[in-house]
Amino acid sequence: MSNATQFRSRLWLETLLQTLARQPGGGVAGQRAGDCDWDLPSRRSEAWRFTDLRCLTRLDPGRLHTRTASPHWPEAVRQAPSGQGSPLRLCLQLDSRGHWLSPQGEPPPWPRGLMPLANEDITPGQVARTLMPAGPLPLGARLNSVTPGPSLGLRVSGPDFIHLDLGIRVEQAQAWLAPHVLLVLEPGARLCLSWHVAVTAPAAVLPMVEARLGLGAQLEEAAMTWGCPEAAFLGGSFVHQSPWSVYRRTNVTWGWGLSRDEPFIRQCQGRAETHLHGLAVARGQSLLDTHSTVYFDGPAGRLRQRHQALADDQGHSVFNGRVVAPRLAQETDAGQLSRNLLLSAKARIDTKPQLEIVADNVQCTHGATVSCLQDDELFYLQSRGIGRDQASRLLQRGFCEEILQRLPEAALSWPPLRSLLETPTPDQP
Amino acid sequence: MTSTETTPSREAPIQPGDVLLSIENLRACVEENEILRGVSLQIRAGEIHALMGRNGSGKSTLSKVIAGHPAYTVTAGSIHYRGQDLLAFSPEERARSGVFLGFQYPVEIPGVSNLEFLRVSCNARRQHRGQEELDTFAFEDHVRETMAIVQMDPAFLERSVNEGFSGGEKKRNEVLQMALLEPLVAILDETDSGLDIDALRIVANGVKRLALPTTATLLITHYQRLLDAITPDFVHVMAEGRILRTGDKDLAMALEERGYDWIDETDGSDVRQP
Amino acid sequence: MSSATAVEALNKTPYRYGFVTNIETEKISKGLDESVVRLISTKKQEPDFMRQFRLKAYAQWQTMAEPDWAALRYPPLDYQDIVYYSAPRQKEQKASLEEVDPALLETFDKLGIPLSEQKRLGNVAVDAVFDSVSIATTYKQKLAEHGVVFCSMGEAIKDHSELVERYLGSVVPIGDNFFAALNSAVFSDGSFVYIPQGVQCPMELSTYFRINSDDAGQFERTLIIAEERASVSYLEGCTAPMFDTNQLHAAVVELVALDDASIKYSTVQNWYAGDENGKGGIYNFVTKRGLCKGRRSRISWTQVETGSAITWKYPGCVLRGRDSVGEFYSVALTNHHQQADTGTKMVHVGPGSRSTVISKGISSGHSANSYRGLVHMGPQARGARNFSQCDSMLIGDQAAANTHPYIQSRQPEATVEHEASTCNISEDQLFYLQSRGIEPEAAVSMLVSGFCRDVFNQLPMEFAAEADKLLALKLEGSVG
Ligand SMILES: Nc1ncnc2c1ncn2[C@@H]1O[C@H](COP(=O)(O)OP(=O)(O)O)[C@@H](O)[C@H]1O
Ligand SMILES: [Mg+2]
Repeated sequence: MSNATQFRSRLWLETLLQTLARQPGGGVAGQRAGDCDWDLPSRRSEAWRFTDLRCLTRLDPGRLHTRTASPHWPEAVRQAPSGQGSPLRLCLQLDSRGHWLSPQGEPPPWPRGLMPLANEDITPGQVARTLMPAGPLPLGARLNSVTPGPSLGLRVSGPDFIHLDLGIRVEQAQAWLAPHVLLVLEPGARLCLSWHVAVTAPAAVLPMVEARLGLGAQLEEAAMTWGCPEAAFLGGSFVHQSPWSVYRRTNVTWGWGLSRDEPFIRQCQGRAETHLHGLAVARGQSLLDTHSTVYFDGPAGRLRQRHQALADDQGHSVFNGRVVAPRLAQETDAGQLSRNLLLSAKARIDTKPQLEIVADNVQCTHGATVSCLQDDELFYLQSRGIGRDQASRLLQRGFCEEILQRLPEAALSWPPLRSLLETPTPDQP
Repeated sequence: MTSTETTPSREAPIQPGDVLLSIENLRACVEENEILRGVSLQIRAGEIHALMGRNGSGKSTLSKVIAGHPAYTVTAGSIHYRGQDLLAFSPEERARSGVFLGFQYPVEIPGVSNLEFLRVSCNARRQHRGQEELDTFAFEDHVRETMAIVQMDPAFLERSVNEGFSGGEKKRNEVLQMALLEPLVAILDETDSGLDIDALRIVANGVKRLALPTTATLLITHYQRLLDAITPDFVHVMAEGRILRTGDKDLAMALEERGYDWIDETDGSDVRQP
Repeated sequence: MSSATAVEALNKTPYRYGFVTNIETEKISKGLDESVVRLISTKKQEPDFMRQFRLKAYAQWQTMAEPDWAALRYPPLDYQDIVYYSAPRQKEQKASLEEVDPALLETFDKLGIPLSEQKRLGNVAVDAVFDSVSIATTYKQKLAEHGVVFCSMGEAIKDHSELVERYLGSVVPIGDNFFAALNSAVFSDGSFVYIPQGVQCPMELSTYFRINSDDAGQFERTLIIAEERASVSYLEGCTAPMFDTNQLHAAVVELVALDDASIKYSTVQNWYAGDENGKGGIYNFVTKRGLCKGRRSRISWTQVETGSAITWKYPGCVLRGRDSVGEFYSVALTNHHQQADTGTKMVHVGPGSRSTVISKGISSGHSANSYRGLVHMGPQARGARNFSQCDSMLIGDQAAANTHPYIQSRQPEATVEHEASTCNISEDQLFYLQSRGIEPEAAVSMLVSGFCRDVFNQLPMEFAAEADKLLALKLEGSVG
C-alpha cells in the first residue's frame, strides 16, 4: 500500500468512527480524530492478500444512515402464521431505528423457549473474545462492535425446534447496518436461525453473530446474503460449542462487490459436531471471500466442511479454511473440501486449506479442486439433445444445488434465491 | 529386548501330548470393560480345538490377548506357553517362539511391500529356531513354493501388505504367513468367514497340512463347513467372556442345528476341561 | 509395545557425520560490507560482470528484510557474526586429485564419498565442496568426451563465462528474496553443469557439500543447463559437524531446461540437525528453482530432508514451455526440536503444462513440520493440470504437522486437484508386524518407509536404499 492509499484509508476510518460516535448510543466508539489506534488491514497482511476493501471504502463515511426497507419474505415464512398461532416460528425484520420487529411492524411476540436477554448482557464481542483471546477481532466484528446497536440477545431453551428468521433489506445508498445477535442455547436447546439479506444500493451490512451452545444443543444457521456490485458485506460468526452440541452453518452468498465472511468455531472441550457448508457465486466483478477457522480444544470433535465457489466474468473467490487440532484434540475427525468452478478467463480462484495439527491420533483430510465444467458431463447432456449453453447452466445449477439443498425448506422460496437459480447471471437486482 | 536368555532359542523337541498352551482363569479388559471373565483352556500337541460362540462373546479378544495386543489388559489369571509365562513376552517374541494368530480382520499397510514383510518376518522366526536366514533370492523361491499351497498368485508379492486385497485374499495371505512361520500353536480367527467354497477348501487343506502331531491348532469359527474338513478334537462354546461348554465334534453339530440359544437354556454345569 | 514406547526408543539418534576435519584454512574476518563482497570477487579472480552481479545483489539485499511468513521460530541472525569466505589452504591450481590435501580426501572417504581414482563410486561423478570451495571433481575427463561440463562454479565463471553470464540469475533473480540476494552477493562456490544439445549425460552427477567451520556460512550456487533434448540426473548430498552453534546455509540452485530437455534433481539432505534439546544445527535457507523454458521440457525435484535445525526451502518449477512438466517429490522428516517449512511452487505459465506434487511429512519428537506449497495457473496456462497430494504422519503427541497449500487459478481450462491427509502409526499396523516377529523399532521404520514409498521410488537406484537407511537411522538407534 502506498503512503497515499494508507493515508486515505486512515482518514476514511477516522471519519467513520467520528460519524458513528455522533449517532445515538454512539458512546462506544467515542473516538476523536487521531485517537484511533488501529487501521484497516492492508493487502500486505497474509489474511487480506487477495482481498481489496475498495468497495467498502467507496462509501462516504460522513453520510451514513440506517434506513431499511421491508424484506422479501419467502412464501413459506410469510404464510406461516406468526405470533401466538405458531409459537415455534418467529420472523423479524430490522427497522430504520434499529429495532427488530415483526413484519407487521410490531414488537416480537416471543415464542415459548425464546427469551430476550437484558440489554446490558449483550455486549458485542463477549463470545468472540473468549474464542479468540489473542490478537484483534476480524475487521467485520471490529467495525460491528464500534457501531451502536442494533442488538438482539436471546436465550434459547427447551427441546422444541425454534425457527427464527431475520430479514434485512436495503434500497437506499449509504446505509450502514451492523446488527449484532447473541444467542445462548441452553443444554439440549434447538434453534434454526435464517438470515435473509438483500442489498440493492451502495451500502454495507456487517452482521456479527455470537453463539454459545450448551451441552447437546443444536444450532442451525442458514445465511442467504445477496448484494449488488456496489454493496459490501463483512460478516462474522463466533460459535462456542460444548460437548455433544451440533452447529450446522449453510451460507450462500452472491452479487456483492465485496463479501468477507469469517466464521470462527471453537469446540471448547471437543466431542462436538460442526458442519460448515458454503456457496459463493462470484459473477460480474464480485469478490467473495471466506476465511473460516475451526479450533478443536478437546478430543473427539468432528468437522465436515465443504466450500463451493463459482467464479465467472471477472468474479473472484477467495477461501481460507483453517483447522487447528492441538495436542488435546486426540481423535478429531475433520474433513474439508474446497470445490471451485472457474468459468471465465478473467475470473480468479484463490483457495487455501490450512491444517495445523499436533494431536497424533486424528483423522484429518482436506481436498481442493479448481476446474471448469467437466467436458464429459457437458457431452453427456449434449448427447441427450441439450444445447451447450443450457447444459452448462444445468451443471452450474447442479453445482449450487449441492449446498442449496442444505438450506431449510422454507428458505428455498426466498425470491432472490430463485433468481440465483433461474438465470445464469442473476446479479443485477 | 533380546529374547535369547528368556525364551529357548532353539526349539526343544516336542512330543505328541505335551501341553503347549495352558490358560488359567484368564480375565482381561479393554478401556475398563471386562471382556474375558475367567477363561481356562489347555491345548496339547497334536490337538485341534474349535472355539465357537456368538458375536461379541470374546473369541477375538482371547486370541489377541494370547498374541499380546497392547489394547487389552490382563487383570487376572495366566497363560503359559510350553511352561513359560507367555504374558511376559512382547508380541514379536511370542510370534518368533511359535505362537501364530491369523487375524479376523488383517490390517492394510500401504507402501510396505508384502514380499519384504514376509521375508523379515520369516527370517525373524528362522533366526529364533537357529535356522539360517534366507537371502532375498532364496526367500523368493521359498515363498513361491509356499504360495502354491494356498494357491495364491505370486503377483501378490509385489503389492503392499493386504492393501486392496479382497476379504478372501487377505485370509489366504494369513494362511500363507502361517505356512511360512510354521508355528507350534496356530490360532485362526474366523479365517473361514467370507470365503467362497474353493477358497474354503484351499484354506482347510493348508491348515490340515500344518496340523502335525507336534503342533496344535485353535480354530475360531461359526461354521460347520470348516469343521467338516478339519475334525476338531474339542469344541468349546464361549459366552460372555467364559467358556460355557466343552465337548467334541458333536457339540458343534448340535450347535449348527439348534443355535446358541440352546446352550443358554441348558446350564453350563457340565463344563469340563479336557 | 505401544507405538508411543516404540517411538520413545527412536529418540536416541547418533549423527554419524558429526566429526570436524582439522585443516589449515584461509578465512576472511567476520562480517559483511561492500568491501567483503569485493574481496570475495577478487580472491576468486572474477571477471567484471560477476563483480557487478555481486555488488548489485549486495545493494538489493541491504534494502530487504528476512521473510517472516514461514512457520519458523529462531533468534535473529547476526549477519556480521558470520565468516563469508573460508577455504582449505591448498595449492591454487590442483592439476590432479593427487595434489588434493590427503586430510580432505580422508574426510570425504569417511563420509562415504571416496574421490580417489581407485575407490570412486562406479557410475557417479562427484564434485566435492568443502566449506566455501570445490576441492575436486571426479570423472571430468570422461564427461568432457561427451561434451558435458561438470565443474565448480568458480571454474565455470572463468572457463564458461558466456554461459554463466547468460543464465546466472535468470531463474532466481538477484532480488528474488532475502536469502537469494545474500547468496548472490557472497556465494563462494558450487557446481556448474552444462549438457549440450541431444546429449544424455552418461552418468549420475553429484555434488557433496560439507560444512566444516563453526563460524563460516555456506553460500553455494548451482547452475544446471540442459540444452535441447539433453538430459541429466543430479544428486546433492550434505553433512556438517556437530557444533552447538548454528551455521547458516543459504544456497541458490537454478535449473534451465530447453526444448525436450529433462533435469532430475535429487537431494538427500542430512545437515546436522542439532541435539535432542535443539542446540546447534544448520539453518538451511535455500532457494531452488527450475525453469522449464522449452517445449515439453521436464524438471523433477526429489528431496529427502532429514537434517538441519531449520529448513526453509521450496524447490519449484516455472513451467513456461508449452506442454512442459514439473514434478516435486518430497519426504521431510523432523525429530527433536527440528523445524521444517518446506514445499514447492509450481507456476504454470505455458499452455498444456503439467505438474505433480507428492509430499510426505513425518513429524516426531517436539518438531514442527509444515508443508507450504503454491500452485499457480496463469492466464495463458490453457489445458494445464496439477495434482498434489500431501500427507503428514505424526509420531507422538508433541510434534506438529501443518499444511498450507496455496492454490491460485486464473485459467478456466486449467485443472487443479489437491488432496491431503494426516495419519499416525496405527497401533493395529504396528501390532500386526510385531505379531509376525518384527521388532517394534524395525516395524516403525518399515511403516514410515512404506509411507514414503511413492517418493523413494523417484530416487536414482543407488540412493533409494541410502534414503531408506537414512530414515531408519534418523528414527532409531539401529536398523532392524
Ligand atoms: N478395542 C476394544 N474396545 C472396546 N470394546 C472392545 C474392544 N475389543 C473388543 N471389544 C468388545 O469386547 C466384546 C468381545 O469382542 P470380540 O472378542 O471381538 O468378540 P467375538 O470375536 O467373539 O465376536 C465385544 O462386546 C466388543 O465390542
Ligand atoms: Mg471375532
